[in-house]
Amino acid sequence: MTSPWTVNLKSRLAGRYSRFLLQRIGFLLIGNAILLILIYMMIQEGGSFREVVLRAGPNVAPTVLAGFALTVIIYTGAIDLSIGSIIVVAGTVFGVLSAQESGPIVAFVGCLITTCVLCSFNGWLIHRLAIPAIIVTLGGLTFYRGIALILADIGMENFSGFISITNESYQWPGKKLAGFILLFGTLTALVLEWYSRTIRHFLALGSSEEACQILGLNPGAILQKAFFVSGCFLSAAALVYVTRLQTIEPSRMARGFALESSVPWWLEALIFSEVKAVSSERYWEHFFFIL
Amino acid sequence: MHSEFSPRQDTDPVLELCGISKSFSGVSALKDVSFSLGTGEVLGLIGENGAGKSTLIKILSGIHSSDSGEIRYCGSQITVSNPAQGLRLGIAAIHQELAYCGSLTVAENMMLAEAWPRLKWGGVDWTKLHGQACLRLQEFGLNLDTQQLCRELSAAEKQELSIARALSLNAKLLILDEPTASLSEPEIKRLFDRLAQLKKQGVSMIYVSHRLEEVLSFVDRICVLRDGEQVGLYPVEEASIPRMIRDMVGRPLNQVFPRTRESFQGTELLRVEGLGRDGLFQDISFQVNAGEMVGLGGLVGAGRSELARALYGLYPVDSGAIKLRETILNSKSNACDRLQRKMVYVPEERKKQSLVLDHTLFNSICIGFSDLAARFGFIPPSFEQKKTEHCMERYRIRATGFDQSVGTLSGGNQQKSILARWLERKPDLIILDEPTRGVDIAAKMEIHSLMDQLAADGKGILLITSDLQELLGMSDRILVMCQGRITTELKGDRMTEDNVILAASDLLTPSTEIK
Amino acid sequence: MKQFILPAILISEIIFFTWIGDYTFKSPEDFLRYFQSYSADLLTQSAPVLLAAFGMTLILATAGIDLSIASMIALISCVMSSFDGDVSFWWKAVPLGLLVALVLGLTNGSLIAVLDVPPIIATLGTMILFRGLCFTVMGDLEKSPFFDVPGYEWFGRFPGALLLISLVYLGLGAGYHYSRKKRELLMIGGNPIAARYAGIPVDRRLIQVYVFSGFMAFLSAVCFTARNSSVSGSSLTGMELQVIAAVILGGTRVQGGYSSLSGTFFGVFIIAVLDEGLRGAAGWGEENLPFKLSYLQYVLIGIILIGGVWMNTHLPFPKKNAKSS
Repeated sequence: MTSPWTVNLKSRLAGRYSRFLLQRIGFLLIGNAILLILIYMMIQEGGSFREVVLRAGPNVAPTVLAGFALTVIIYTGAIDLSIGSIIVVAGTVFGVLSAQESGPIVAFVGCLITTCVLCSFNGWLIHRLAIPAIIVTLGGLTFYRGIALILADIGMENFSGFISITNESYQWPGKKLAGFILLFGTLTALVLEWYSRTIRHFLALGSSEEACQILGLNPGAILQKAFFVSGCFLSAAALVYVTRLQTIEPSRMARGFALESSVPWWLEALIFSEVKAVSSERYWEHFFFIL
Repeated sequence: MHSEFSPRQDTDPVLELCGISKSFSGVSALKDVSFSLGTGEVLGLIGENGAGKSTLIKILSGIHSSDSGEIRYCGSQITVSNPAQGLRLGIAAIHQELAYCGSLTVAENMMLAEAWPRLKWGGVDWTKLHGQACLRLQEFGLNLDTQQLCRELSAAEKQELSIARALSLNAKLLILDEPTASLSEPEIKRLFDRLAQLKKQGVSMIYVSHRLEEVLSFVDRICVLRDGEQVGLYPVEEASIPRMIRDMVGRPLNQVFPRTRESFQGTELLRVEGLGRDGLFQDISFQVNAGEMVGLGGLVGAGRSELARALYGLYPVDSGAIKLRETILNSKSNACDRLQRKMVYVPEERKKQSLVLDHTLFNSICIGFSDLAARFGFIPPSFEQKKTEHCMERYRIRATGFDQSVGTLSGGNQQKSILARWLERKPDLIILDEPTRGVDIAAKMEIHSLMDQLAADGKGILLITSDLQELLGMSDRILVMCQGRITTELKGDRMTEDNVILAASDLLTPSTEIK
Repeated sequence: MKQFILPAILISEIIFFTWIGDYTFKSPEDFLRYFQSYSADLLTQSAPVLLAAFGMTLILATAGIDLSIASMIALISCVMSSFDGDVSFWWKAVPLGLLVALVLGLTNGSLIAVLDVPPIIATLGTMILFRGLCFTVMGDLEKSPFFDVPGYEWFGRFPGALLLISLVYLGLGAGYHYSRKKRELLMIGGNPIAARYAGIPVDRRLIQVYVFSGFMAFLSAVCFTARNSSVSGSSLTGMELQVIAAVILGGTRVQGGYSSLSGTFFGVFIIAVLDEGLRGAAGWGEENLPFKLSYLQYVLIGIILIGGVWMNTHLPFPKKNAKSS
């Protein structure tokens, strides 16, 4: 006898994904497994396989988490090209706080809040100005980087292009906790995808704004909520990203981050023709990191 | 049908409108509309496209707000500022544009704006959710897989889904805007059965439709709008189709199908032999002669539009041959080539398949024929100017000017502009797919006489339509398709409504045929 | 009314930066001389972006996008730079550069039209591919044969750039507005299904557009190398965003269906003036601001992009196409 959970799982899968799609997801899983084995065989000489996989954690975490953040936004039919620059601002805030010796926790919280606020601000801006998300965030891409540079220049004495982090105590989330944060983020994403009504609202907005309105939902509120949820994922990504760096260089770091973390999505869209799934996202991320 | 349920005027009105007016950027869309609606009463709202029906419905359901006037609902004055509030008050609407979210499942669409059943820890209880949705669908007599994605449904299923959702909301006031537009006979019957049931339970309705027979058979009172003004409000007993048309158009229309041409058969223009495409249509053979209008009837989903698109070269075919005049078209021949060979196709969905809504009327019309005048790839601007002016006049397109964007034109004028686009190429063979769907009566008349004129001029026309009257009234010959095959060919006396309906479900045999 | 927004922004920018830059003009001739050198500088500086932006305008009109444009220009420059800098450059490197440009454009076009890859993905891929090819061609070297080629430098100076730009602008404008092309491209962008139904050979047109954009990339590479003289594998990174931003600022819609060549013209110059102006005003910044003025450039480009598009779409100027029924 199958447990209710598996029945539920089966019906969920059968409902959301056509057979074709399930096959693709299965293919991806197998592809990843093969890649892992290949890598295992190649690495035999230098360092153990275990080490490599463990080391991969901090490197892959920001991209995957940012991928989740982007997925939430893409669900609503919008896009955020500025996530790289938002991470830069968060990194700068973190750098400035750490340089002023304000304590690790304060610096972490500063980084988290900055990301979340800026992301929500993007959502608000798109809603208020009523111009396409791609334009607002293309503007944000350069805008936020400028803000980061200005912040660094004001906040630091003798700012010469980069901020070095010397104190080990500022770095534990990126270096030690990255794997856990990634795991936690992934679990949250999965739970949201499978058990949340909010995500369905995002999808609804993505498929037809007019229908949402007619059916009695508030499109503006949903959009802003989506950007907020995305901000939460992104703040985790930002935290891991900035705390594993020795120097924070506002003018150069996280260039092309938005493109990088959306590559899996674009490819997925290409193959799955539009149906989006958080669950498969993760594997794509992995796939690409390893590539 | 109305005789079974007499209007109950004695009770307090559910809805009262007093002097509702609305204008969009200075242009008045509704002027001083007032009526009331009793419990369990059905009001038929009729008028041409652009008469203000949709605006009125949008005001009632909270998508627009009125400029002046008062809405009283269940005795108290209300303002509906958004659809969510309308739903809370018990006003549910089915809009002309189908409201559904393609990437959600049927169940999710059913329940979108409501509270969802939860598991103990707060997650969504999918089993219960699907159960509830399933129950509601069955109440309406609809058997859909609740796990299916909405975009995979057919147009009719989508429409039935939105109807079922609106009906399941326990609304006191139900607004139906063209609910039968993409439904076929059995589905329409099911809808009316359900509506009659709801009416018995005391639900009031506002029913909007272009199909006047439907309105006559179902409603208690009729309200006629013309150019935003309320020109008539009378009980259905006093109504008749001629009166309704006169009120809507503002002048009497004596004949619905102007048939002035003599039946005349010219040379063969199109011959199709054993055409088939897997899963869409099989074994199609027929021919169209010059000066002949061939009707293609059948239910929605019988494969008529697919056949038309294949004829026009938009789909490849698996088997069979198409012969256009003397040439057999090979597989390399695409739509572009068909156009050069003087074949045009007017697709069924104007907004999706013909128009770019925010392009100007000028651009929209010129795209059809401007290449005919090109000199070394350049087109003299004065040519297009003159030609478009000529089109506006000849096809009686009513617009503020060349620069008006086609999206803001009424359905009839949009359709006429599309016809202008193609007919100015002087084609020989014309495929018309639902040429008068969503078009007001006056424009419909004009399009019909235009078609008649074309056939009289010796063009071959293949007419695909779901409107039985149109099919019977316009065609010289009717082919009926059922499940991807041409099952019947009707000519002369055999062209009757019953025969077409029977043939569409493949039930026409010598014994059932009505002579 | 609407068409004056972009020129107005441009002029107010120029006035603002002249004021900040603390120039004093003793006589009208003085002003004229300043103005001459300023506009010559501006034109030669922005010629590569402008030429690439013209190609991009057409691509955006069809609801496509070309992220690979900067890599493409860099690759063409790299290929041309691997020839000797003498007279033979004219009949060896230049035709080869042109050929490469057309082939690259064709690659993009066929990926999008024939293989049906969404433009953003296809060009994201080719962006990385072309950049990789740049490094294969160049290694880590930086080559500069261009100034040794007789007569080549002319394209980097004012008359050459002006000639090239006006030829392209007029030719393109005429071809675009007085033929069916504009309407066909806009219809493909606005409603690809309707375009197919209208018998427009959508695939062929798309390939043509991307090949044309390749040709513009070639002209842009000529202008770029003639002015900057040296190229390396990493030249021009990030230019694609500048090009796209300029086109969007010019009023072309990213979703396709509406485009404006003259808008693109202004869009490019608005960004170029900002760039130039901030560089000129560095001294003023040192005195008055707590941070380096050049950082402000990023912020201002962002604001101008968002603000410009917002004004283009939302300001309540009397619209010709107001709802009337």
